[in-house]
Amino acid sequence: MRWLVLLLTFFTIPVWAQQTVELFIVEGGVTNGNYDMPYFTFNTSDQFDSSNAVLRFQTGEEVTFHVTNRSDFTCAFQVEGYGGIDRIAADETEEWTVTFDQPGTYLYEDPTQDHRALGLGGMLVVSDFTGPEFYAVFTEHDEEWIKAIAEGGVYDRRAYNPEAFTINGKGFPRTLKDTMSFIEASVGDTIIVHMTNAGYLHHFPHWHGYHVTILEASMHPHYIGWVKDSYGMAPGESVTVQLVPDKPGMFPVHNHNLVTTTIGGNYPGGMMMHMHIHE
Amino acid sequence: MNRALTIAFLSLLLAGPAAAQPLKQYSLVSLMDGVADFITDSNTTISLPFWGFGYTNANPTIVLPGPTIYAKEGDSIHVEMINPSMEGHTIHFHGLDVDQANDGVPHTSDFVLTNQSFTYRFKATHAGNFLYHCHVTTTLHLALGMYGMVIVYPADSSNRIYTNGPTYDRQHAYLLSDLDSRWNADYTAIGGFTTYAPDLFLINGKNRSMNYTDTNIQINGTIGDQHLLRFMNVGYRVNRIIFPSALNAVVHTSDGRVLDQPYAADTLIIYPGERYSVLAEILDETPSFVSTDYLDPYRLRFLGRDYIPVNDTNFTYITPSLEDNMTDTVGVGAAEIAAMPSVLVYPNPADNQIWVSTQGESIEHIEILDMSGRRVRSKHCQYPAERLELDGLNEGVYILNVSLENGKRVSRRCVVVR
Repeated sequence: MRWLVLLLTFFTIPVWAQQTVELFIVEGGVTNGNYDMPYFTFNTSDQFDSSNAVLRFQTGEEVTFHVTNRSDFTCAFQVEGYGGIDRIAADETEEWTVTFDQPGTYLYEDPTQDHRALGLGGMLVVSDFTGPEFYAVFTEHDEEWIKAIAEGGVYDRRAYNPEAFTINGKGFPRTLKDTMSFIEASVGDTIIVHMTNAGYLHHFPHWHGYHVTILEASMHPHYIGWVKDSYGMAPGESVTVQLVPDKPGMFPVHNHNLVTTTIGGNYPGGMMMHMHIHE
Repeated sequence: MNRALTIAFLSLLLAGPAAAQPLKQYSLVSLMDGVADFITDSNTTISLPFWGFGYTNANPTIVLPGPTIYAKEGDSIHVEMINPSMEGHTIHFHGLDVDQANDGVPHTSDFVLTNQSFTYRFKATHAGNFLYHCHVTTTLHLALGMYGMVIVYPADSSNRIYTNGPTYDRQHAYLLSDLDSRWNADYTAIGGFTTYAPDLFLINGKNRSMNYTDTNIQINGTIGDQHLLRFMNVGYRVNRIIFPSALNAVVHTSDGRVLDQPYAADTLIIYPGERYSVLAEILDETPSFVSTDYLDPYRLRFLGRDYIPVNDTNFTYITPSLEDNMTDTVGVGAAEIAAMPSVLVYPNPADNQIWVSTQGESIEHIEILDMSGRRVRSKHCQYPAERLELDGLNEGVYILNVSLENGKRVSRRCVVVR
């Protein structure tokens, strides 16, 4: 009987212990090269970080999110394809439990009105990969929209004029210090890079030095399996690529709409990340 | 001594072509003194300054685009760049996966400053279509014209798209770019990089009637002819190529790599930096045209259009209509289009309500997505004609996903204007 109890206990323990993730919607700022514009992100503490937290889980993991809204307007939290929390009032905390049974790279966001334009859009990865892995969330920032949305004002959806362009909430040269997107690896490594377009513009990553194999492209499924050095990401799209570098070097990866590789009137800036491949 | 030299010479001969290092050498200058003509929306010709590249000679002249660099797969390529201009420039060979020292990026490689030169050395490892452009203050230097094409043929110089690939009868290279005439007119007065608003949309550095009589641009032939169309987007805007029914267009390569599965397309989206090889078979000799559209990265709004004449030596520019704002933005295979059920959306543009109707099949569900992909309306239905209320939706372009009783799903676009 004792053996039977032990056996049953063994088989009823979930493969992945349940995780709890605390998330906070926090206000801070993002630079346009001259001054900080208002900006909101999902952080794992109530201290502001310009990068939305990258949420990474293994396949089959059950996760309970506690999402606290530190802004002064009502928000929400949704994960592409999985659902989420429809309403989080100001200064309230809401809870949501989900099992991530489908591997992939997903946008998470506050889908209320145009809250993604405030900065409230990030990346959630479900993957069992154990090698070197990097993450880049592309976003652009229009101060007029941000102020109007956050303060309940009027803005024109036909006129979108972003003046700052970031990867993980940072514009080059700050991306050089961003450990999530700065690819540090060696020749011959199999590297996975997840990219999500959390903005409203299409973005166009271009890889210097190497071609990459596209493993996943949520809105351009015909890309899957193609070997590319340039591709498009639609608003809300996630693209996952595999890179196996054949030579050492330091190379940029940047948006080829070159208006976005500037910051505050300076080039290079904005949507440009780098890789440093060692011998 | 003579005998030793003879032996050495004979050894080289006997070693044959495998030992010879195939080498393509080019020498280019970078200058900032070009002037080129363009045709405006009002059909007038304007001359604008441009920056660019030209062949090195006693009196070098730059051209828009720069000279095309040709090579064969396996060749070593040496491109000397001489810079007599007043600013630093470089050449970045886009898609050729060169090493860091030859990458042409000032902050990771080096500048070529005034009166300096540098020879870029790399190998053409794959047949296909590539770009080159200056990478110094790229946003400005590229926009002003510092770009060109690199075309790599199969190692055996055959008329195949790639080594052992399908053959073609004729080939055409189309370098698509966009240009803001205010930037070119006075680059010191652009007032910030985010002011870029292109008003000239170019094919091989020219537009409209300047191209229509160019036999390298025109697609002329008889039924069954296979034309290789090389499309490259070096601009900052999205290109949408729409093929006429007179051509059976099949996409074979992208970014210098062979696609495992070539696919037929009536529409091809080319994002900035992308390149495609399309094999187009002439199915019908009646005059027609390929449309080349230029779309904004925001909502893929229509900005402008030019054309490639097909069997039409008297082609004249056709002014696009407002409806071009609502055409599809995703490439769909011709075979898929033929199998699509007929679904009408009207009125379109719409004001406060819209009807969706079929030829008798019941509609099960309709959802409306905005251009960021967000669902803004959803309705469960049961009849072959259904009405949707649009009040509360902002003006703009929307996608209607219509699910039918037979499991088929059709997407349509509608425009809301009030």
